[in-house]
Amino acid sequence: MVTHHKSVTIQIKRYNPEEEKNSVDTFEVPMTHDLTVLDALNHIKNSEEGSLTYRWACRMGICGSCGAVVNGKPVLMCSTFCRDLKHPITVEPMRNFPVVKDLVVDIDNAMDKLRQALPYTTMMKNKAKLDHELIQSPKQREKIEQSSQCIKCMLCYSACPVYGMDQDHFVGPAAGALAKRYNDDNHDQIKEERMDSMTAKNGVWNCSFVGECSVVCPKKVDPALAIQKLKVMGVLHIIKSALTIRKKKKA
Amino acid sequence: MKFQEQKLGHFWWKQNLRYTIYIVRELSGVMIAIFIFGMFIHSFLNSLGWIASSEAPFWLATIGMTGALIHTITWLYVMPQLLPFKLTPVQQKIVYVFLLGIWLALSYLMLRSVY
Repeated sequence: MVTHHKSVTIQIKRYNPEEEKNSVDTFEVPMTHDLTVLDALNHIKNSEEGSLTYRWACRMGICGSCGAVVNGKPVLMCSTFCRDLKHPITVEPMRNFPVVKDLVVDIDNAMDKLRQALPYTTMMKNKAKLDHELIQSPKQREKIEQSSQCIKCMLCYSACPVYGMDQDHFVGPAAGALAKRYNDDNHDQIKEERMDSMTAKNGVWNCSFVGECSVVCPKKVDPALAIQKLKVMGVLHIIKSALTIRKKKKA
Repeated sequence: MKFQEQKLGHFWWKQNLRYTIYIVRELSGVMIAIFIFGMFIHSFLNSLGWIASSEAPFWLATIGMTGALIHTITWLYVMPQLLPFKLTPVQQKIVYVFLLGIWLALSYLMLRSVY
């Protein structure tokens, strides 16, 4: 049973691309105990402002579509309850991304960073392994459990000031976690190529451990720790590569 | 139709406490650098006889020491988050207090051996 005790005030930062104008629109939404920010936006769109634009899909914190900055913190709107927030509630688009319209941002740059992590396994490098099934033990699966939870919501990129300051020379939190996930996968055969990519100039080195990415991650992937581990692996990789080159030169 | 670029403002570090602590941590490194370079310059000028006695070493050492203290305390806070095994937030705080204790104990022992 839905009971309307009171209403909640929601202030939404909007952007009109046709007029290239910003505005902050305020709406009153009937408050219920289980009202999420996404529910509130849907109510606003259905009853008051049909032009309000935002992304959403699953409504249950698994697709990563509904990321926004709510009361100054990057969150998934479907998993954020209005009862837990200070009122009035402010909703803004995710930071560090160009705004397309209202709360919709262009995440293409961050998606390109994910490609840099070579987020796939390949069996073609060692064809002998194709002769039998590729087994992964529960212990091996557990190793990639945490980093596999990433839903590519990009909240970590929104929270990362290093990415905000210099998008060209830092691969970013999610890409780092993704690279760690595939490095730890026992099926993986392209670790060296992936480490070449991660230890490049636009790799992981610019991370100075702000740590906010791990705080905002809705799936507790801990990308900050993943990047620090990648840095250690990166140093070993660079040393190994240098020694390998020396051996080849001597030969 | 144009996308609106969102630039990081100059005062982004005021958005939350974690950002502020991060900036303070980074700036503490600058304080240590001021001490090191300041002492180099002071020693150089002193060797040329261009300056007699001055309070500059005292103030440089104060800046350096303050920076070193802030740097140590803030990095020790971060260390439990970098361990290769998972810790709960409470466990991380316990490890932090433990690390602070070791640091203070070692500092005390070093001071006792010098003085």
